[in-house]
Amino acid sequence: MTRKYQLGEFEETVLLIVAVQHGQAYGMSITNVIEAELGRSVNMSSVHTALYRLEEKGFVKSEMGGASDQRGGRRKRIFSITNTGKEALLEARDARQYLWGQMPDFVFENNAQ
Amino acid sequence: MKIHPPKLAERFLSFYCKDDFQEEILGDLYERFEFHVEKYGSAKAKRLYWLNVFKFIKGYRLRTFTNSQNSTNNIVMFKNYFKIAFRNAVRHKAYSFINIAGLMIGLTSFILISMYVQHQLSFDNFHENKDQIYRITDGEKAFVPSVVGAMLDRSFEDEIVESARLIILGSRTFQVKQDTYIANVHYLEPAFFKMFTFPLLYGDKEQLFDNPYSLVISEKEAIARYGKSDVVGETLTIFGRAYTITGVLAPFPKNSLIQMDYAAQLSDVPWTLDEQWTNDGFYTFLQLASGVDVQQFETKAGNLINNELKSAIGDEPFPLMLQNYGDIYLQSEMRLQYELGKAGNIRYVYIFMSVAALILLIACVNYVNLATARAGHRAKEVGVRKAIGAQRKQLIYQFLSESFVFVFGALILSFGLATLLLPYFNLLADQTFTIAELTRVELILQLLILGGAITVLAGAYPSLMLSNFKPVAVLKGKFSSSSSGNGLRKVLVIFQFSISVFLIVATLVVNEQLSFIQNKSLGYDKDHVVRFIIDSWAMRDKMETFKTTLLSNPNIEHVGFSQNTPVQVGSGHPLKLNELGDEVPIYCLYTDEDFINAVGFNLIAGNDFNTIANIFREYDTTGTKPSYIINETAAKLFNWSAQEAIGQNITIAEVEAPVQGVIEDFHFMSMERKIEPFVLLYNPSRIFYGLAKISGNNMRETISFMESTLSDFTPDLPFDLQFLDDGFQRMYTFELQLKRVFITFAGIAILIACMGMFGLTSFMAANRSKEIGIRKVLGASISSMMMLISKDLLALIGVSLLIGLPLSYYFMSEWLLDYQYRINIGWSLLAIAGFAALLVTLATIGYQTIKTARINPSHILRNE
Repeated sequence: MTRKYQLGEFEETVLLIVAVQHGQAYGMSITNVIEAELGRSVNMSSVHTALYRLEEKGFVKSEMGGASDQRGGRRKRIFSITNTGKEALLEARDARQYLWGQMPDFVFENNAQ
Repeated sequence: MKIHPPKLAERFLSFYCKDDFQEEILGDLYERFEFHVEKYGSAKAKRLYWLNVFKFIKGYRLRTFTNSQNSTNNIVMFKNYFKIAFRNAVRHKAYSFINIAGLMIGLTSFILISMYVQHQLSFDNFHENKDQIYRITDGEKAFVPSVVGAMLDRSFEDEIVESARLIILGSRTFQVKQDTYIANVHYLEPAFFKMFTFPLLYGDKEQLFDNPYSLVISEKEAIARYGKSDVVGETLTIFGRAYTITGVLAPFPKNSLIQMDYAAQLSDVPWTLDEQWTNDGFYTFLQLASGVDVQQFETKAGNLINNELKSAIGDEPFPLMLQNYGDIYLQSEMRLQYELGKAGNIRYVYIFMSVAALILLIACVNYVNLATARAGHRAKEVGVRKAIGAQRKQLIYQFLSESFVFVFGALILSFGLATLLLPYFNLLADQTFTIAELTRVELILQLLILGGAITVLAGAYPSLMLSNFKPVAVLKGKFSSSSSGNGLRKVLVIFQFSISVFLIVATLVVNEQLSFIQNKSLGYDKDHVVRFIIDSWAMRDKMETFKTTLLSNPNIEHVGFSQNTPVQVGSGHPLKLNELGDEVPIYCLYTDEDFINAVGFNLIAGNDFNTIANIFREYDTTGTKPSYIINETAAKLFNWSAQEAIGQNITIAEVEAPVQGVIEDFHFMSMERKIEPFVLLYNPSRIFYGLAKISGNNMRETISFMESTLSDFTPDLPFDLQFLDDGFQRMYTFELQLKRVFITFAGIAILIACMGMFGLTSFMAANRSKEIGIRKVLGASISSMMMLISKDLLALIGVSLLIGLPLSYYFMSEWLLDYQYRINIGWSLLAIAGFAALLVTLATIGYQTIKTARINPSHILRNE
């Protein structure tokens, strides 16, 4: 089996969050989820970089949001997942599930002891 | 209070980050910052903000500074910029006139002055061996005794490639067929033409001086005397000796210090080869081998001369110095007496360059001032251009194109003007530049570069300022034109007028100093004194008859004879100062009995040669006591007053005799030098000139009478008459020329500054006309309005005076130090200068001020 899509671990996380926050995702909101909900410290710059890489690969698309008084009057760049992105996510999940399926049962039983 | 992220950090991000990414990043950072403020407080939040800004530096986000946008339509836009610039120039005629005229006059001055300066700097650099040619001097005089060159040439065969001595022996009588005339001959050693690059038109360079009595002639003289240039093989007679012409020299370059008409070899005048220390007057040139350390060689040569000739030189060592031939003309290191030709002065080259640069600067300042003062007129255009998408960079290009149009327009005009004015400039600066020299490719290239530099210099600030307008503010009409660029304009006006004040003071000082020199009592009467050459040998028995014949004319008051004229005193003898054998040189002049009367020397004590006259011969051992008439300076050497000096014994050239008379000090050298000790000696056999004091009546007849009398006595001798004050004027040609040039260009600088001031006042008055209208409606008087308009400018003039006066005082005092006899820069002079500056300003701004103050308020206000 050959993988169709290249998706790194961090990119996968970011892409997942974009999908979760459907229509609301932007740099800062993703950073917040990673930091607050996943408990993982992250560099804002890396999140932005990951988003652009995902856009280059065609997994997400973006447009500038409406203006508001928040954020010093600056607009957000809103990201949303594309069909390709969805396929890539599914493929990543399949790959993972395949590996979970291959796992002998005793590995976790031993570990439980 | 709401806390904002650090401004500087935001700007830093905007600076490095591409525009496409900026907004979202700044927004995210803002959110992050608010979150941090809540969590950690503002100080830490700001630190973290900075940290994040740095973390966002990533290759793909960095701004690339290449022109990513509008790369296609640049040429079209530039066409448009030029079109707009032309239309503006045509629409605002007064503005364009002031700018273009100022730049044009400035550039014309610059072109002409830079021609002069480049000519001065290029002197003597056409010699192929120029880096290797050195001249030997003693640091005071340009020449050295004959023996120095001969001895060095013998002793340093390895270091010296060629050596040549040169002496100019004064006028010789020439005879070509039936014509006689007088000219100078340069007696030199044959190596001279190998060393220097003076090409021959005819003749063989290697064989010029193979035979004695060979003569090299300049092409100009060949044509003048023979009517053709190829005169090789012709013969002529000099002082009764037949010479054969062996070579014709190509015309000397204008930038050559040495200019000669005739050259013969030193050995034709045998005594010149005599190696006595007293055989002085030889310009001595060495061509050193390449790689010789000049300083070491100088020391070695100095030691050799001082050791070998110890007995002749005496206790004071001979300070031998080498001077690179290329340095002589501008004499960057020293100024020597008896220079080979008319030398220049590096300081004046610097002064002229500074004046040229100042004139250009003033013209640039005008441009900046006027362009920013009328910024309001262009603000709407800038607003509209920005609103429909012009970027700042494009606007900067636009306004730079505009200054380009002005500067290069002015440059083309000034080139034409320089061509027209070249003859007048030649008269002014005593030069002979041709149009061809003006249109040299290098000069034109330099001017183009200069034009580019001025475009940027003049256009930079206005274009930055104009392109910075906020379109919204401008288009809403919130823009106030009078305040923008005000501070800078003030500084520039102060700068301009400080320069003008400086130039006014400098002009006054130069003028006053030079008229001081010319009117200072010289100690003799130079007016109505004529000098003519005589042949004392031919007339040896007829001198008295000759004199009586001349005096028979009622218009000739005195006739005297002398070795030289009072403006050309050259030779000297050693004067013993004390019993220890210390000696100083004392300048001397051999005369006959009546010389003192003819030139009007003032005898203040003792007797003249009419009363007692004993012949002087140097190193005379027969015990005769010659007559000494010394000047006051010589008396002061011994601390004698004029009366005390009479009867005291002094020793000149080892001949001791009492002083029989003292004359008042007279200036026999340029005023730059102080008066030296001087002695009049009696020896009628050593005279070459006749001097006659004539009355001012019937001068023409008197002179033709003198001519016919002279030709009766010595028919072969051409009549060569000169007025003494002509010779005196020649001594100061350089200063007089400097004065003319300086005053002209200082005047031009002040004129340009005034033009700028005029333009500036007009705009300021126009900007304030509504205010003045309202004030007048409310009852303000005309005089108070005039005060209102002019007080700002007058304050600036005040500051300029405070800067310009002390500055000019300092620099001009330095300049005056060059002169031994000089004026003091007094308060009155500074006051006059300040007053003149004020007057010029008032005259400049007066018209506009009065016009605006008298304005009828209804004309201004009805359009509101």
